[in-house]
Amino acid sequence: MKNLKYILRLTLTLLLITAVVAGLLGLVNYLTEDKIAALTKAKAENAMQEVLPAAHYEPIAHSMDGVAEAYRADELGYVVRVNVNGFGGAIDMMVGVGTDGKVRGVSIISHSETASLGANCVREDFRAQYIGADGALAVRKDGGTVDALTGATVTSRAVTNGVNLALAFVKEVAG
Amino acid sequence: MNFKKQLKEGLLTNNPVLSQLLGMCSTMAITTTLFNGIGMGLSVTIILICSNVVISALRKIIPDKIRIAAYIVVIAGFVTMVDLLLKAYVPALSDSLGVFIPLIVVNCIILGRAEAFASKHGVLAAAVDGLTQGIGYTAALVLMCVIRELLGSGTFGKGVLGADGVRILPAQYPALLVILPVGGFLTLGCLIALTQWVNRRLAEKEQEKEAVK
Amino acid sequence: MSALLSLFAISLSAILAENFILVKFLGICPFMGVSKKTDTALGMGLAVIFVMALASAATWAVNEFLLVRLGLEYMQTVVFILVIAALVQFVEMFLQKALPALYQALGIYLPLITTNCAVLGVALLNIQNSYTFIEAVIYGVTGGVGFTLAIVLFSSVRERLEDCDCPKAFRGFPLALIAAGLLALSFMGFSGFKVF
Repeated sequence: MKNLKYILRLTLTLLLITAVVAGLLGLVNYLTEDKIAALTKAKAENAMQEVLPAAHYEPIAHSMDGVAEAYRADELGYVVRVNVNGFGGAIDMMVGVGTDGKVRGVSIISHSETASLGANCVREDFRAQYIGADGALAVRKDGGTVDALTGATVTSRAVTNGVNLALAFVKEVAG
Repeated sequence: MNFKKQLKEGLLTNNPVLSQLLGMCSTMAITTTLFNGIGMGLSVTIILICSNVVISALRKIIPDKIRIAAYIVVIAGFVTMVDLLLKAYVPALSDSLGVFIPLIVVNCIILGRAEAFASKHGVLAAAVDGLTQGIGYTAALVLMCVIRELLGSGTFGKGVLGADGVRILPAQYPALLVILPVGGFLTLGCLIALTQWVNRRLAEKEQEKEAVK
Repeated sequence: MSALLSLFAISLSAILAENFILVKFLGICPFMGVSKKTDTALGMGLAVIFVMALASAATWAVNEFLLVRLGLEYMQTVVFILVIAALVQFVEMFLQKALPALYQALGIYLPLITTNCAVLGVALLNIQNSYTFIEAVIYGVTGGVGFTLAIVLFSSVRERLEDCDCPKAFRGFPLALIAAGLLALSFMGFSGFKVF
């Protein structure tokens, strides 16, 4: 009986500490979640404007694996948000594809790649490589034309896969 | 308690990374730019101070059997708070450090200090300990970052002095492998060797002083 | 078929190209601590595979059916580490009864699996990469296999380092780290490994 009381006391103390911590976390979460959500939304909107500027983006249905969001950008083309797996986690990117089926722009919304290596995927000169492409892309190592980032083949492949995914999606939607 | 003595210990003779050999995962993984190093160092220092204070304050209440679990919950709480605050106010750092922010929970330094110090001393002492150990950790990180960034990218202060830092070595000279995983192991190995040498010299000097007396 | 291919790709990269210890830097403390003798290293590796697989499964389930449903994603770190701590406790009790020799050999390092960055790391990465349940478990198992591979390889290197002649300041840990760095360099040869 004494043993049971002891275990009960231990469990309750731990539960109490956990409850207090959870409560405090809930408070901090409540205070920060709006800001975080707004930041993420702004990032996505900026990315859309960057890859294919348009006055209005109309959301369209999408069911392809890896495509998070898709929009029709006025009469100019489509903007597709894709998620691919990079080296340190998911890479969230926005790809703009014109009505001619060619890539208009690539923007990285968020990533967890290594600083100075995969993190360079946000650089202008790396992303600009994809502009104008309309077929299946690959890094040079895999027989394609995309110059991979130094020391970051996995990241480069991931971004390339993302662009290919967007192109495939637009082809399917636009016909 | 002697703050200067504790600071010297935190920085050199009892440096959490270079002397106690704790918290190496993060030290090698994220030290590729100065921004990462300072950001991570500050985050860990804050969490260390907060968790040390709370655990010290609760040390008489927490039953011995579940103390590790309790410490982990408290530390995890502070880590998540810092994670959320960084996501909201310094998103660049949050993205750059990635999964290593939540991994601060299992950083041996914080749990180690809680077990070795905070659970046995008063709140003020625990806070100072957290501060000095945190400063030591940050110093080790910054040292790693500066060396690796200089030799690996040829720049200084990436993310802190501008997005690309100040270029010190022309672009064709730096050795890429220093910022790759190899470089992390090699740099840390050399730094620990250096620290061991310095500490040994300091101990020898102390012994000489004692002998003369 | 494509699901099978993706599992194969995840496995291969977890063991080689994105090895948890030598490339991702997750699990360094036990890597340094337990790698002095090859049989202890192997035992530790097997225990870690077991814990990583279970942890992947348990944390995925808790996240999917509890945290996401209740909108409590911010509690991931706290809940995951508690689940892992509980799991390690059970593994400890199980080993004590079923394989007492291994339990003795691992000693203090067994409870330390709780603070092994690789275990919490794989749980968090499963969520970050939006893996399905099967993918998460496979990632856990193969991540553990990669961990075991690195630790066993390293232990045989360390057994030779015992008798070597080197500057006093480098003896012990620094030399081990440099050796680990060279091992990491060799694993770099796997980077950019492409499946089909």
